[in-house]
Amino acid sequence: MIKESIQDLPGGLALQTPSGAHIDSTLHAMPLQTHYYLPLVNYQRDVLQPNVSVGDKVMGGELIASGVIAPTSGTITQLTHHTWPHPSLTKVKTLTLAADGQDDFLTLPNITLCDDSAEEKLQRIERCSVHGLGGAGFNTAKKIQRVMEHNAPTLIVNAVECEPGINCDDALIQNHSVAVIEACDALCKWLNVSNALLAIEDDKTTAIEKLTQALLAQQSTMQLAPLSAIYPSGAESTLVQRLTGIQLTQGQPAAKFGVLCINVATVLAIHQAWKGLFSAQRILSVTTQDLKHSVNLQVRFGTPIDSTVQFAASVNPFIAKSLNENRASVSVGGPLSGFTQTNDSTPVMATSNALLVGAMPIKKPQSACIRCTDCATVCPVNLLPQELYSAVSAQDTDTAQRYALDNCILCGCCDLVCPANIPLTSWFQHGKDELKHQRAAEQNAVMAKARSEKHNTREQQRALDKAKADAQRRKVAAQRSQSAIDIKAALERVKNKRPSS
Amino acid sequence: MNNAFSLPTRSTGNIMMNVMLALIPGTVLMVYWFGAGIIVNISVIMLVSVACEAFVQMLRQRPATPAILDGSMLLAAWLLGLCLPPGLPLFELIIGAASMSLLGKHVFGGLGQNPFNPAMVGYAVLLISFPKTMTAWISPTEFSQAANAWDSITQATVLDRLRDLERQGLSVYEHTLSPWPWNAINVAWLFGGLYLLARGIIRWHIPIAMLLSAAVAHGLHYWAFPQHTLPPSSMLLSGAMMLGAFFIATDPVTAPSSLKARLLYGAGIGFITVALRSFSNYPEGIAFAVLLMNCAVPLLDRCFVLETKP
Ligand code: SF4
Ligand code: SF4
Repeated sequence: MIKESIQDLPGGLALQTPSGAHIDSTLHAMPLQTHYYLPLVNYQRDVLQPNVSVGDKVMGGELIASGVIAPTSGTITQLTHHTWPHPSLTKVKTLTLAADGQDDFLTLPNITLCDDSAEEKLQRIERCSVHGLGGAGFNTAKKIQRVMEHNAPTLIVNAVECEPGINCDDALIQNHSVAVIEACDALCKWLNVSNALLAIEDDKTTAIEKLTQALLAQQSTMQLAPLSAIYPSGAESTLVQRLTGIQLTQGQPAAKFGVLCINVATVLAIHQAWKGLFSAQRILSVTTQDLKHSVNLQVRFGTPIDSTVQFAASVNPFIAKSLNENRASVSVGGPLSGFTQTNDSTPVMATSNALLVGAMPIKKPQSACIRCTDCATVCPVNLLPQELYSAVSAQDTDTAQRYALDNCILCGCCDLVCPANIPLTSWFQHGKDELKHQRAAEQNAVMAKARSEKHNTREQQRALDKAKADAQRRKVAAQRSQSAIDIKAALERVKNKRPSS
Repeated sequence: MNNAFSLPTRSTGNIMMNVMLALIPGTVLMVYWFGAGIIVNISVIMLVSVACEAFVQMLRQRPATPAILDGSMLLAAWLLGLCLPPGLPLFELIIGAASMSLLGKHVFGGLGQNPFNPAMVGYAVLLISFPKTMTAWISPTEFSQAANAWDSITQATVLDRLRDLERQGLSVYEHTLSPWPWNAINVAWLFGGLYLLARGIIRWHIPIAMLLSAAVAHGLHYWAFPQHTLPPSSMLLSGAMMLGAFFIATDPVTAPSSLKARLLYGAGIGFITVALRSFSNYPEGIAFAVLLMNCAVPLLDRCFVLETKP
């Protein structure tokens, strides 16, 4: 199934980070914070119900809502509406956890590869709250479960960074190459993987060197797949396409084709979950807006972005300098997909792979689309962004769907090349949200219709039953009165007979 | 959008500038043979269309400067100016420019919204309204006499001349006009077009499809009636063929998006051009061919929606 030669994307951009960029690959662990903010929302943006109430004491690793664990021990102090790291900048229900400083975690027994059942392994992944650490934040256990339906699946370990300026996977590999390979091998063995690839950009020489050594030392069956750095190869659909030639459409998961595409940090998190470690933190890059300086931090989920940036500034003077510039702001995500956050205590979540700090570039004035089709040339999933744009901006969701709005991976390539400076990707994000609402409304309408139909049939049935019962009753009454008449008549007859005798 | 990556991002103004640059050699040659009247045409149309642009932007309460500086109107004006015979009355020039700007572009909502190529709209309006002055091209003169170009006898182009000959039942070989200046001008357009291709401003699909289909259509016609048509080689270098193929048909706003649709679009223009040249009352068919194929663009776009990229 793996293609002989690595495919080139139909579009994409070779984005170079500026020359002389300095990336600090040391992992700086953030000290324990006083407060953590835990949004009660999952990767599908469903709102979750809390398992705990305000005032409860929790241990690290305790499930405070389905799929959300406490990142440390402490007390739940608040249940409020709070911003979360999402481009919509909306607020969701959020629990505030005041750390007690003990950092006590629940203890879980080891899971061993040979002795424990697949069921137990999956449950453990779920219990430790392992989520995709790439950028989408999928539920990892569900993803694996899907792939397990296939015999001998293909494993693609994704170490291709999402965007320039993000280098958390690189930092992870440089620091923990042996553990990474161990974790990959364990996963391969468990799932009986036929083909295992570790995809990484070919310009990450240090990481590749470390991986090669680790592969040799472990006698691993993993294969390295160095890819030329074309943005957006880090996205699942584009990576799968480059490595296997399979084109995923309409949000199809790669799992459907027996391909497990999983981020390298997530693989490590799975392995650690089996050892009883909760997935309560991630590596996050803090990078200056000009992409020249970058540090990598180990941050627990729920840490406020503000403290994260302050900590980064304390380890790197250039970041501190950028932070103090005029018009400095912090945006969540890389230079292409990032969005400026508005609240300092917005927390870090599984999907937050980078923070950019510094002065925002001045927006160039937007002009009309001249249909030059530059955007279509770079679109990695073969869309026609100019047509999509005219459909979405006219709020014509039908046409937008015809031009496959669903397939857009919101990579931002089209934005970068548009000579008219149209913020295409923001429009598509907006269009997708609209579509989602519309679909939800349709679904609701269908459900309401079904409900009312059910209600109607029930009513009819009830009326029918009532009519039946009434008829029965009348019949009985009639019979009864008939028999009364009969008795009366008989008595009459007897009475009439008596005097004659 | 962050542009820390040194991407060669272009801007609309930049694209238009490049196209104008590519127009210079051909324009210089035209001035050489037809005199300063060409420059007069271009400048008058530019002035009037910029005035129209400013006026419309004012009506719409939008800033006028960016709309003018994006160069799209200046480019369209230049193209229209090149299509008009020098010495056209001022009043006709003004009508042409105003139709181009107002009818061709602004009634549809401005840049990017117009279904028809504005320059060709202006040209068609003029050709239909003033057929006589519009087909009276002065004869090409050497530069030394260009100063007198205003006075030179107005004379038909090769294509006009051919038509006359044909009407009189004569063969093409009897025409006396030298095709050389027009051929040279077309070669200059061709070079400009190659520059645009090399810079990635335009793509090959439309011009190549257009030239091929014109050559094939003309070849068939020539094969059937060799007495009444020019040989195909000179046909490709006559009239506004190269200008049309590389500068007019490639206008991105009015061309379809996807690759296959563009091939069809180009081929359609080439075919209709030859058909109009051969069988209609007008000597040059490019303007109408472009406008007709513009009508087909929505259909073409619809047919190739999920085709792979252009
Ligand atoms: S790149 Fe911009 S101007 Fe060009 S077609 Fe796309 S949206 Fe229009
Ligand atoms: S954001 Fe969407 S439309 Fe634009 S290039 Fe990326 S996938 Fe294509």
